[in-house]
Amino acid sequence: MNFKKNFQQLFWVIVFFLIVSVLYTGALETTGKSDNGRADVISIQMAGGKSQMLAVMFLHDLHTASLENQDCSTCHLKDDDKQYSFKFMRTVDFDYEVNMTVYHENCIGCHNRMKSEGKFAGPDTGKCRACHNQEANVATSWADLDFDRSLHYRHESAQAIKPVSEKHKNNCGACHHEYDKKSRKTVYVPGKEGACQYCHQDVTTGDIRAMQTVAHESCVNCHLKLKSKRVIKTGPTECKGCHDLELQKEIKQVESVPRMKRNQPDVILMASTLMKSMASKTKTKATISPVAFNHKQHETASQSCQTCHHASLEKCSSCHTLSGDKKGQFIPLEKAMHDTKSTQSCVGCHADAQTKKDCAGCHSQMAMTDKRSNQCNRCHHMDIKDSEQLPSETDARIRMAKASVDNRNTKPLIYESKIVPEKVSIGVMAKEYQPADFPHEKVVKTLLARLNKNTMGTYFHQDKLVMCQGCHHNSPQSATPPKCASCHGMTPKMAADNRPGLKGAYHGQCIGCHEEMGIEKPAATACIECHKKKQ
Amino acid sequence: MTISRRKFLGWFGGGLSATAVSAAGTAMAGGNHHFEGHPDTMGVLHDISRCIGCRKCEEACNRVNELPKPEKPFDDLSVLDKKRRTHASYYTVVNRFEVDSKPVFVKKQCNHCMEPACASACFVRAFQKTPNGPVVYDESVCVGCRYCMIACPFNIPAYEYDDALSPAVTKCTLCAPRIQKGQLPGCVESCPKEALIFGNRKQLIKIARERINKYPERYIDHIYGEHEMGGTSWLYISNVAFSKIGMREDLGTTSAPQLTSGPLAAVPIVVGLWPVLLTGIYAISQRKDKVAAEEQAEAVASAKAAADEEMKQQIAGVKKQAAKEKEAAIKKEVKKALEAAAKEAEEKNAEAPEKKEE
Amino acid sequence: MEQTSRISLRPLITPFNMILGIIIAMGCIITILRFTGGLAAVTHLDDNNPWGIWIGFDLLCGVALAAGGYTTSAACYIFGLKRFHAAVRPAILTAFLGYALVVLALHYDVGRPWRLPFPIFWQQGTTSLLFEVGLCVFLYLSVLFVEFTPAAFEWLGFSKIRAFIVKLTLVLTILGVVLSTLHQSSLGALYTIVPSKLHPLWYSGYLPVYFFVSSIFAGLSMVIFEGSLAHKYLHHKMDETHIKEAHGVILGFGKSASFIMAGYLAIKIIGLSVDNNWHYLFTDYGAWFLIELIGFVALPSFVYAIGVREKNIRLIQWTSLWTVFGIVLNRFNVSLIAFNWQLSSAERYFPGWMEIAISLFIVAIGIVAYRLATHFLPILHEHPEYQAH
Repeated sequence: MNFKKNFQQLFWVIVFFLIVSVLYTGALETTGKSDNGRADVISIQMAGGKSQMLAVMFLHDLHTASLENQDCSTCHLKDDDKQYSFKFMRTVDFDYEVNMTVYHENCIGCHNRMKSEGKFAGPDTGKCRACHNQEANVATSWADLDFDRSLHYRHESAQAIKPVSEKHKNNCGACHHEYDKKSRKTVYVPGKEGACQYCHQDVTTGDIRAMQTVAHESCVNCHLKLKSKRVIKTGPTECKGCHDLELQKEIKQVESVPRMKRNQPDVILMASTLMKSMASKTKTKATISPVAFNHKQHETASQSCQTCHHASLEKCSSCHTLSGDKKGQFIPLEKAMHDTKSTQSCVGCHADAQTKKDCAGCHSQMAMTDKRSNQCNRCHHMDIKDSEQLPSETDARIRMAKASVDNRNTKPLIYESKIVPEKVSIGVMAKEYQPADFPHEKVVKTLLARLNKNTMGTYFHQDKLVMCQGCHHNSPQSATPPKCASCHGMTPKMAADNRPGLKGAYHGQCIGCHEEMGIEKPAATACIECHKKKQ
Repeated sequence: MTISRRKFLGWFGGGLSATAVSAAGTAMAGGNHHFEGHPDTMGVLHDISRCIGCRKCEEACNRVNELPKPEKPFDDLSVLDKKRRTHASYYTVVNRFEVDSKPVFVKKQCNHCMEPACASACFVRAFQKTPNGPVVYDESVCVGCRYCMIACPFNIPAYEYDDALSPAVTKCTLCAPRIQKGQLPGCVESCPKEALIFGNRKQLIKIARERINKYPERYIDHIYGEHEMGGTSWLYISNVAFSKIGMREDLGTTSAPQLTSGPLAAVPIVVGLWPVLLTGIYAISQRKDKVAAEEQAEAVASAKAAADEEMKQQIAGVKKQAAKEKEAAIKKEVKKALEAAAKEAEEKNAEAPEKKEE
Repeated sequence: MEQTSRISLRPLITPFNMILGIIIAMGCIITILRFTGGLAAVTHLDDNNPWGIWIGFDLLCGVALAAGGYTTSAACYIFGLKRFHAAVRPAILTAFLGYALVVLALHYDVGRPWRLPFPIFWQQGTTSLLFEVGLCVFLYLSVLFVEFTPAAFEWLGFSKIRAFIVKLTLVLTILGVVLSTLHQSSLGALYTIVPSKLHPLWYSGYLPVYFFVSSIFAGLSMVIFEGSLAHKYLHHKMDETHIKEAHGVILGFGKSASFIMAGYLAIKIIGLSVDNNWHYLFTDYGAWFLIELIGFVALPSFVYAIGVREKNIRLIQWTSLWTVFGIVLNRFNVSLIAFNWQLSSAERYFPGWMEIAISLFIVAIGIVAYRLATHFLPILHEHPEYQAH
């Protein structure tokens, strides 16, 4: 019967499609939905392969959680110094094929073992793309750990971290070292401690291993060692402990960190050109007054030494020469000191400070590109006119600079009431509304109070007319600045340039300042507060 | 499986033309043309970082266009709690978004594209891009098919679904009559923060670029509308990522008319080629039928002729046979007669000698 | 076969007719609501979803399924396959009624239906693919009407005019194929303007080609399906030729539908690779796409082939219905399901019951008109005086 034969054929067709759909839903499973973000995603990709396989996005904490009573030695071998190598199941890298075999045999082998014990395990042979799933876009909450002064101090003062040998009183040597090329060993050299990143860069270059490798080797091994010794307060041993954005916020911050002892000067006299002339014994005039730099104060103002000493603890001008040098990435001294976009430069860091709420009201509305040449003397004001006036001894120079620093006026600013009008009546919309009574003195007083909270604020606004320029901008400093309407005409019909009309200028300046400084009253949309209806 | 020549040619031709259609579909109709926009196109620059969500623009739009007053007054800012879109009699709306726990306000309205999708889609040309910027709508020809609403990538045109007899499509007009008179669009005029400025589009792009360059830490380095969907007259600069404030960043820079130019270009080709192909197929199939008919007729004729021939031969054979038989019969008769005669003669002879003896 | 020249009332009251009657009555009431209360009173359309099932089903599916007209007449007159001749008149009738009803349905959907002639006669929006659709549907409806008239003229007895029109058959058929290619593909091309709103698996530059090719096998399947229904329920109106040729039509159309669907499957897969959309297959929409493509195109194509080889008429008939569902599914996907896929579920569209009722109303009118036509006109049988044709 024809029907029977057709039914048989149809049956096999349906079976075929059922199998395909089962495989397909399997593929669907692996494109799982990601959670809020994890800090433990490690991208594993071996160099040197011809394979087109995507990187493996390995979830480390997920695996350590499944270890239970087992420890790191499940996956990590110890090297000769009994330290864990945080490569997977090896202490050195082999060639591509061997590396790949190491991973496949051990990863999949473990999965199979666990599965045979009835436990839930990861993918096995054949499910290649379940592991090689770089495109799965797992959300990551990984963040670089900022090893700041507070964290450094906690390590420095930790009893559990012992000095590297008996002749040292401090435990700096437990982490800080230099590399002795002759003995091919790292040795502790007191007085030469620096940041790890000064040598250990993002990738391994020659003998110097990558920061990621050494940081984990040093930090995690030490934490593990202390944990095994049952020390109560040790550092994290899981990825998220150091690298999860949210958990990083929970790292204890020490309130006032004692000053780090590295024989650093309190004050520095910065006079690069003059120093050069002095060295070559020629007399040159100072083209700009040297800077007396308060190093001690800046230490407390920054996260760590690396904020400014980003490549080494030497002075800036050793790499950033006047006209630029290869060592300094061809960034000349002027740019290294004054680049507004970099937080490593003086002016850049100061510019960044202007984004604080107390400052942003005026400063957010000023373009960074404006050059404020009337502010140079805030730093460049040492009274040295030529290289002969420069002392030749370091101590003398430091004393000179210290005197200059001590001479600076950092007392809170005060404005006299009589130069600041109490109210300014703005009657532009007098036809429809009562004039807006602008509480000028109140605003000035508030700004002053917030400015005086910060010594930098006080110092940079010593010239009293400078603060006025926050609103009374683009005009000469004056106690009787021009009216806003002098430059901001009635709103033009056709926009020709970036200058707002009077309406936009008023609202932009006022409302903009309120928003930036977090002032909630008057609300931006509470028009009536300023524009009272005419009776 | 065998396929007839006729069928094969038919499908081959169909396949060829299908390729032609698809090739036309991907080619740019008109070659390397590039529309730069009308030089005097006006536009509006919306600085999203300046918007405070006061809704004065919505109020002005409602007043200037004499639209019906809404339920909640324009100073009721609680409407910002929900996301709104343009609607019949709501040519523009302001929406609030929370980005990094700070509120950001964005005004949404027709973007007056340089090459509008609505104008391209409308089959009665009810939408026109005027040379000085606004995309205007002519209600007097609108049939109400709502293809413009489908086509608009920004989901702007709204429809008066409640109106039974004269429903119209509604959208921002860029206050075309006002700007003709040299006035500002209602929303631009009323914005207290000058978050909206009106001017020549090219000039606005310069202004926007300048503002971004001046405050790089404030603005996202992108002028939205400069190139999106081929460029729009309404430009936006923002302090937060556009995708976070309801503005799609995946629209591409190809204008809507360009997207449909391929299929449209294929139309005349079909009109020109199909009749040729189809007539060809018809002719071939007719010819085939004719040849088949001829062959059949020939086969019939030759079969008939063969049959005739065979019949003739048979008759000839039968005739011969008959003749032979006749001859044989005659011979037999003759023989018989001769024999009979001989016998008679013999008998006569036998009688005759007896008489002689006497 | 004797023709009754008057309808006797008794057989009219069947359960099926009752249901039709209710649908038509409801349709009339909803029509009044539509034109007094506007679209809002009757539909779930909104600003985000301006096109609902009146476009998705009535227009898109209606036009695709009425494609039997041009495919059958092309097969018979252009390709010269005379054995399908019996299927031509029913197919033309279906197509004519189908397109006429599409235009009727448009009167409901469009805001100002009295302005429907505007784009053709008043102001032409030639940049618009909808103009293309409108113009070609209008012209094709006229062509179909002319192609349909011989049947009417035979009944009315206008033999001279009838003879004249019959002479035009080839030209009309060619015109029909040209116009059908244009509007079938343009219906797909309507959606090429919204890559941002249509899911990547359904959006393609090849949309016009997809719609055109699928209309071919939609038409073929519809002819098989309707022919099967007619055989069952209108058997008494059929003459010997019709009954004899029926199986040949089913087998022949089944074979070509199978082949064309295989080609359609191929170009769909090619479209996937050209746009490199493979990764979308592993999403929920991807699963749905595969259901449409494998379950409603690949499988029926295969089963058609089986049916043709085994000469299993039943199997082909069920597969034709299967294929028709597949076409409806495809048009629904493009216009309603994969369209606006990025909107939140609260903003998505689902038809209101009155919209569904009107769609059923249109179908009901079609069924009634078809039955009236096949009763009075020589559609399923040949007129005794015109046997020569």
